[in-house]
Parts: sequence; C-alpha cells; structure tokens
Amino acid sequence: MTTVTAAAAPSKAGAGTDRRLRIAILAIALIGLGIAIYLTIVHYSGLKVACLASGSCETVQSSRYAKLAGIPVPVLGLIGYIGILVTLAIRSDLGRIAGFGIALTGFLFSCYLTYRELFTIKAICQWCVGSAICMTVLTVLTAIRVMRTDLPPPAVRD
Amino acid sequence: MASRAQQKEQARQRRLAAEQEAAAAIARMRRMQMIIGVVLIALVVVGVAVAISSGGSSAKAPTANSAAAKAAKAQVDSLLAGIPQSGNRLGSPAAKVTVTEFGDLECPICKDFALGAENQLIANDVKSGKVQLIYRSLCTATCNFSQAVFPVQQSAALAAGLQGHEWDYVELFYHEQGPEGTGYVTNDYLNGLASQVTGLNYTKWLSDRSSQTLASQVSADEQEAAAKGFQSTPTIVVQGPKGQAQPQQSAIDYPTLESMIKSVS
Repeated sequence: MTTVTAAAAPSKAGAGTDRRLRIAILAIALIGLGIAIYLTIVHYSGLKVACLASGSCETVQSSRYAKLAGIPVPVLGLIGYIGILVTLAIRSDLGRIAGFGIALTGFLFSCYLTYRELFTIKAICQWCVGSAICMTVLTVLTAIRVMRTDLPPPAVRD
Repeated sequence: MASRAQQKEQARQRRLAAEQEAAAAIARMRRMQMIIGVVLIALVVVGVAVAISSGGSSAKAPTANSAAAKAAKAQVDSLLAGIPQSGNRLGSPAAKVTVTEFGDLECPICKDFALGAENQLIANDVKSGKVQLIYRSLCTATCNFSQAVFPVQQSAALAAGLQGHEWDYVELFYHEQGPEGTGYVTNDYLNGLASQVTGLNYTKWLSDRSSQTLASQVSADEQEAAAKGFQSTPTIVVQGPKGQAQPQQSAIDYPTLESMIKSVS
C-alpha cells in the first residue's frame, strides 16, 4: 500500500515559483514591518508622526481605533508581519497555510480600520494605507502559494 | 500478445497509479479543509477584534449618582486636596516649571494620560509646589464626530475655573469619560459633573458656562495650538528656567515627563 507523504507531485518549476513567491512575500512583509516599527516607535516615544496630509495621521492616532483592547494597532501589525516572516521559514503546507491565515486576518482587519478612517474618523493616515496595501498584496501572494498544487513536498529544499 | 508476467506488471502499474491518484485526492481534500479552517479562524478573529474595537459604544458614561461616579469623585477629591487652583492653573503660581496640556475632554488618549502620568505628576510634583499645571483646549476626538459640542464642554470646565475648580471638573470628566463618538456629552452629563465638584456654586457655574467669553477662550487656545503646529491631543509642553522642552504629542509616561521637567529645571 502506498503511503501519502506529499500534497502533490513535486516539480522543479513549482519549486522555482515557490521560491519567487517567498522572496516577494519576504520583501513585502519587510516593508510592512518597517511601517509597523516606525509607528510603534512614534507611539511610545511621543514623536510627531511624519504625515503628508496635515493632521490626518495624528487624528487617526488619537482616535479610539488606534488601540485594540489597550494594545496599540501598530504593535498588532508588528506581531502580524513577524508572524508572516516566521511562517516563511516553515517549509511545509502548515507554514504556507499559517502565513495565508495571518495575512488574511491582517487584510480583513485593515479593511475594517480603513472603513473607520473613511466613515467614522474622516481622516486618512498614509502609513495605515501603506500597511493595508502590504497586507492586501501579502494575502494575494500567500493565497497563490497555498493554492498551488505543484509545490515540492516538505523534504525538498530549494 | 503480452506474457503473463507483462500482464501482472501492467496491473501493478495501474494499481500504483490508482493509489497515487487516491493519495493525491486525499491530500488535496486535506489541504482544502485546512484552507477553509484558516479562513474561518481568520473571520472569527477579525469578528472578535471588530466587536472589541466597536464595543465601547454599548458602554455609557456613569451618571452623577452612580457608584462609579462616586468612586471617581473620591479619587479626584483626594488627588486635588490642598492644591491651589486659579482659572486653568493647578498648583502654585510660584512653581518654576510649567506643564501645559493641550487636551480634548472627549479624547480617550487624553484620559489615558490624565489617569496615568498626569495624576502621578499632580501627586508628586504639583502637590509639592515644584510644578504648576495648565489645561488648554485643542479639538481632536470630539471634532471627529461633532464640532459644535467642543466649545460647550470645554467652556463648562472653564466656568468651573472661574470658581477655582477647573481641574476638579477636568479630572472628573476624564475619570467618567464615555465612549468616543456616542454623543454622551449632553447638558445633563455636563451638569451632572458640575454637581459632583466639591465647593462649586452650581447656580453660578450654570450661568457662567454659556458665556461667550469662555467660548472665545477655547477658540483662542485652538488658534494658539494651530499656530504652534500642535495637531493631536494630549500635547504636552514643559517650560522652566532653562527654556522649553520639545513638545510631546502623545500620552507620554511619567518617566518621560520627569525627564522633560529635569531638562528645563
């Protein structure tokens, strides 16, 4: 009897594409991480946030939506981006699916925050928009990575 | 015609192919189940996060006679006991260091600052006569929802200041602050706060709080904040014999406040 050990048949082309996807995810996650680190530093140091639109970033940051259960939203973003980076190091279906799950969660929460910016706070923070774009792209890339069936099995390293 | 051995090999190949196909189908199904599971988990997590984020709207500011209001009043009375007040100043006018807060009474970050670092500052530095504290107005959180109520609520605090009780009013407002954007700041709410201020002549306060002079003072504070480039609350300005520290536009902690004071002392 044959034992199931891999989700799909491995292929060199699949491994190459997965590598490119991982590099793209790494790059976008690092950009998002940079934004999250900057906003976290600004939050805790009390520095004035650099903002293109006068006052918009401060308005968003001083609103009740800048925190979730007492935790500053940039800190949540920081955790999310680090989580995505960690899943990149896990070469298995579990890593791919966990990365997708974190990115999807970040994307959905970014949608909620953008809705609040537009319709409740009535101010847009460019850094929040930047992070939302990163999460959107990461969701697409991690979803592609999860849906592919020609990826190498866990044992294969590229 | 194939030999018996060839037929057996072909059959074995067909069986292996079928088993591989079945294994791949199982793997695909497992992967799909995991994806669906992750999507459901993500939806639940975000649903909970949205409920927490929006949840404050079901809460209410405490009413004047509630246990929460009485507890807040006891805390504020204890905090401010024995400290001189005049207008928007708390503390001795002879204190060499002046800490000015540009605040919005409905701003939740201002509440965090007031109940945290600012209360420590009052207990440690204002009470000892080292620091005097000034409260000024800058509309942020309130103006996200209604600009009209801002001068009304800030004037209510200034009216208490005409009787030397502005900081009682400001502290009570922050202690009993309601959820942002819920329209809880009504005349009843403002009057209820005033009724909790020990030693306040309520009738005089009621008459004073609609004064155009006070509304103009609120407007002047906002204009000054704009001129200085302050856009968020709380903005903290610390001035002393050695000059002025870099203003901080967030709810800074007490050690940061102390280091700012030290830098200008």
